[in-house]
Amino acid sequence: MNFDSRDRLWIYLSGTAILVISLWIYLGYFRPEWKDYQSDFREVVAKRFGPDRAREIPSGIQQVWAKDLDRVDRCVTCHLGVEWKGLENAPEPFKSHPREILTRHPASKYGCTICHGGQGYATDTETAHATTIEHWEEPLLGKELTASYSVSDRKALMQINCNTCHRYDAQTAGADFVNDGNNW
Amino acid sequence: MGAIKDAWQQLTWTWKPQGGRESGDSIVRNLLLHWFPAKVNKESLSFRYSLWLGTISAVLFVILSVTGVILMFLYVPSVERAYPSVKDIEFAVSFGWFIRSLHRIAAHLMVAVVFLHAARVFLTGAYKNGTAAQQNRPINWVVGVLLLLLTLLLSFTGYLLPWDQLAFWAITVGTNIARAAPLVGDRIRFLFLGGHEIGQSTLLRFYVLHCFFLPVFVAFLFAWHMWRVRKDGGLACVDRLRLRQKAEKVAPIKAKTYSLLGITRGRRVHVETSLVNEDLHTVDSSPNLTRRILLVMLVTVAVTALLAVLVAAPLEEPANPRVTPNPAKAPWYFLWLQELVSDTTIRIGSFTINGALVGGVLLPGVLVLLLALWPFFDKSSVYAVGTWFTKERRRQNWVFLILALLIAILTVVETFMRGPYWNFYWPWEAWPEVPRRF
Amino acid sequence: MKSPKPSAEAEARAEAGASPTVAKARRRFLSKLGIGAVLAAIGTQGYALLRSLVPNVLYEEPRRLKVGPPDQFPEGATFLENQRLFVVRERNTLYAISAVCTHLGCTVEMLSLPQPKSVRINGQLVEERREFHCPCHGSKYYGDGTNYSGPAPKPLACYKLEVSPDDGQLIVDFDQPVNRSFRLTA
Repeated sequence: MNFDSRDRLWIYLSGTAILVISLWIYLGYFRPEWKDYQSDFREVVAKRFGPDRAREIPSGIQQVWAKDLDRVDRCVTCHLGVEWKGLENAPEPFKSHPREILTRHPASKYGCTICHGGQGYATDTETAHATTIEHWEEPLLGKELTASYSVSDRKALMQINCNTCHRYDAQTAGADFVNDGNNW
Repeated sequence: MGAIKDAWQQLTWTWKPQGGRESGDSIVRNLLLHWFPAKVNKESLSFRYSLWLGTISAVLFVILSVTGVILMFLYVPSVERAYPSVKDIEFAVSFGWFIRSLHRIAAHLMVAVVFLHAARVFLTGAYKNGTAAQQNRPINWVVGVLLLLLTLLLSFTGYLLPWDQLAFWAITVGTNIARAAPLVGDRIRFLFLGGHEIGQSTLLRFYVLHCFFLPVFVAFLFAWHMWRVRKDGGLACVDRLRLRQKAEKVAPIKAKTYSLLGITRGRRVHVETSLVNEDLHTVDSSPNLTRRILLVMLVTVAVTALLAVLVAAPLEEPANPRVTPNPAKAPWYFLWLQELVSDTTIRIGSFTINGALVGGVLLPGVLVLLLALWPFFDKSSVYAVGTWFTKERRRQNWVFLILALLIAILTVVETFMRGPYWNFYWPWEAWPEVPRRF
Repeated sequence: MKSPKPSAEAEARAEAGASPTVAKARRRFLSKLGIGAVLAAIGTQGYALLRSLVPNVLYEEPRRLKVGPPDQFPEGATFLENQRLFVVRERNTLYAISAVCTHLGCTVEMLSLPQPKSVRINGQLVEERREFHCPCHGSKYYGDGTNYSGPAPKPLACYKLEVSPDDGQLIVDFDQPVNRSFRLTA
């Protein structure tokens, strides 16, 4: 009635199964998507600015906690070049952010998603850009969305979010579509 | 080196006893092992009899407790921080997504396995007493039904905690069904919610119930449940064995063994030390029972972990009391109730009886009461104890199975075939688009 | 001369004798592998559970942050409340001195001296324009952070100041404490 060896076999098999599952989970732990972007960024910076500046680049999940807006945005985990000078023609996600608007709306105070949309909590591209996922109603107001709505101006959709704060302003500099709408 | 070996030997000998005497000793001298009898019936160890469903539900409870305690360090039970903290668990905490998924899968599995365990006990007539003295399996059955209800309540209170649309509205549906209870319905709902609406007080109440009170009740009832099993002489299949022995007219054994179960009968102190011939029918608990328990633990963890990796835990939009999702559904184990509620509104002229009362309170109330008290109505003989599908209990087994099947069918219909506005859709029919922002 | 061939019986016995040992060794090896797998499984799951409690992100002020352009800091000490830090400018040099008392962590108060005071620090005569006094337990520090009275066990910490290459703002790095003599020229 008591199969000593059969029991042992099942114990070893299920132990191995749990181990295999653990190793699969650890794969995601050791090589998340953002790690590759961060090492690529280090290479780009080392080539353009030298190895000293490349060493300063932080590793791990980075976040901007916009306290007043009660938002946390982890976009800077991959979009590391946002506040750098000299990366204006770097490939995404390393491109510098347009200077002027960033000076008026510093990232440390505003975060990113209040203007650009997207899911700030996320740390992988698809979930963060939130154009194809369910249950997040603020997709990235960027290329993908403007293409699917056939909007001519690439930056037009973002002006929707200017209204989050500037709704009651008569005119808002830089939000031409909104201003046109206000003039009606 | 020798000292280390000795220390190791001291720690582990109870798990690997050499011979019968050490085996008996290890039961007495080990804190965890002293819960078990020194010898266990071979029939009890079989997978085919009990399917080890009770052990599986206990293992799932342990998984839930361990992952639950970890999650308590990471989750914040405030209406402002609950949803963001769950998002943080999913994205910013190392292995957070896995721990949460494991917790959720174990919770759903536990509801299912506890029910299956109850079904197994019913179908084998294991809630019945055998011929030994001072057995009270019916009481243990009632304790078991209470444990089933507590399991459902634990799952329900936990369901609210992510504070997303799924959670908020599932609990809205569930607590509104409770409201239909006559006289006390509104008051019960008021106390449960900590107010008239689902808000911060609800979240906190559910959190404390979920993390402290309900688990403590479960632990207490579980201890009682196990104690009763020992007091009743083991699993019901042991009684069946004994009855067969009686038919064979085997002489009662008066020899003392290492069993800790002593049963007296009559006025003289004649100690009948066990129900069956131990040499023929039992084996040492350590290591046979312990090895099987380890096996069941590992297989349960493996299956749960695999499901946790394959099936992502849902997190919908943040809870919005002003936007009701279409359709809004209760958790799956209450879907049969929701279906009944929507179908049992009785209208006689201008007189209406709310479906919530009929389908949500009366019907399940009657069913649960019947379930709990059935052992006291069961008129079958002692020969039906501990056997799958005896002829004697055929009718009651059929009724049970049919009711269980109906509930399962309702649950499946509810899950896949009720769409927006509660309209019925066949599985191949597409649901209409519900308005979204983009 | 050739050694006699072993009889068929002896050969069979030798084979029978060899295989149980081999089989036993293989069983023991697989057993060890199996137990190893179970232990490794428990270990990896246990590590995952514990590692999840080590935070990866903090809801705090960043340890290395921009505090404004150097021109924003006038001659003398400017108190940054959120960072509990004094940024001191002496003509064209800047340094950052912590306002956290080294005794039990209260925020010290700055006392601007109407007349510069000469004090002896480490045998050298130094002119100080301000002092820092702690309101909690009476610790007193000279203008350069040296503790001279009260229960404070150590001088006030100083942190590295840098100029950001991107926009020229002043960066203070709380993860890089520096010597009291550190100066940034801006």
